[in-house]
Amino acid sequence: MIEPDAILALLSRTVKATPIEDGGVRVSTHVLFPSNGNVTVTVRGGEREFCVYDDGAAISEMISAGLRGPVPDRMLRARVRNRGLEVSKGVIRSPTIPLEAIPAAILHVANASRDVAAWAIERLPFRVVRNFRADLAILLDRYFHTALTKDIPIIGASNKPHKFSYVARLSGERTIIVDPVTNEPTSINSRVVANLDVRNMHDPRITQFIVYDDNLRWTTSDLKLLEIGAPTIPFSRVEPQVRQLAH
Amino acid sequence: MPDRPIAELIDELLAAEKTLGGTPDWQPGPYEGEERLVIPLRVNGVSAAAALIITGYPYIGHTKFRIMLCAPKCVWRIDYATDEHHVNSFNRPPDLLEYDFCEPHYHAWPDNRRFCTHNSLPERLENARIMPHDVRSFDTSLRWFCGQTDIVQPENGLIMLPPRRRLL
Repeated sequence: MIEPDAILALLSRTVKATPIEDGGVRVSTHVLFPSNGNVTVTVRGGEREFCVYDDGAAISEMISAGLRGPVPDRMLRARVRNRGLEVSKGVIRSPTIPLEAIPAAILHVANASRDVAAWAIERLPFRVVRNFRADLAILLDRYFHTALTKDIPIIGASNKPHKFSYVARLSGERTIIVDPVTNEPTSINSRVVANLDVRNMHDPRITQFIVYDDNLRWTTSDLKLLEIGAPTIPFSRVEPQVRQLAH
Repeated sequence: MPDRPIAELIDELLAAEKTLGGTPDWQPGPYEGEERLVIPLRVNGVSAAAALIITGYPYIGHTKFRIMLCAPKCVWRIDYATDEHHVNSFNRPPDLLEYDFCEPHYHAWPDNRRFCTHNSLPERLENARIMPHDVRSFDTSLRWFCGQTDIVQPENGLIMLPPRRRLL
């Protein structure tokens, strides 16, 4: 049977106090963020009065989870008020406290930091930043491998060649055209015309679709316009379609 | 007429003399190893949508229990435990001096009333004080709690912790 002291010794290994350049002491705690990183706080002060800060750790956790844009202090303040903590410029901190209150302040600040981060990750809107074209290229490469060619001209019904970003030449003379489009008028118009011209050939061996970045805001009229050129698929739904065509 | 703040309703409930209804019967609690007693409270003989809830831990080797007044959320509680560390909020009355402790303690309504919103009771009673040093048994704790919350004292022997048992 394990001795209580042995457990205490093991636990104490995970708590560290390290001096930092500004005279404060960084303290790692047993409190975990949603990402399972432990919450580290900083104790700063003189000889009699101290403050404990999370140094913006909650905000960092939110950013790491994909949150973009500022989180107003008032939103954080509402989450830490009952603990008697304060928020300034995204940093959660204790009030000024005497030496004997440091353990309580460390626990409160660490738990508040974790609670705020967990709350934000659950409730606030996240915008995943992605490079739409690069991500699409990776996805197509994964399924089509060497069959995938880039910027290939295809002749339309008008006899005009149109360049398409991704063309896969598959067995049975099948051709898959995957055309990414961004929500700019010139991009939309040029892609509609190119796809429409190819579509008008009515070649049963050619499958076309336009992929749009559904991370961006699209008007219904723009989406409808794209459909004149070829069937449209939002990027977030493109993988099942590609998988099906690749087999 | 606008709604009254919920805190005022709890103030009134606590100020009113309350009696216990029914014959106590311990039942298994929601967690393994717990037993629970729920006693409805009455004001002027009428049920008051509030209850005295006592939780016992008969499989724990030392004295441990909780006594709560719930309406319906807990508004007053004794945590009689020597193995639970409590840390007080920094948002607290100025006369509440303790920051943290590991002793039997009580969460009084006056210390936690500040966490109410207009329409909702606190999710947690953040602030607590160490139990008075002359209140160190279940019976004295229950009587002290009833005194603090204006519940008419139960008859002698009416409410006792479930007997201590051992896990086989």
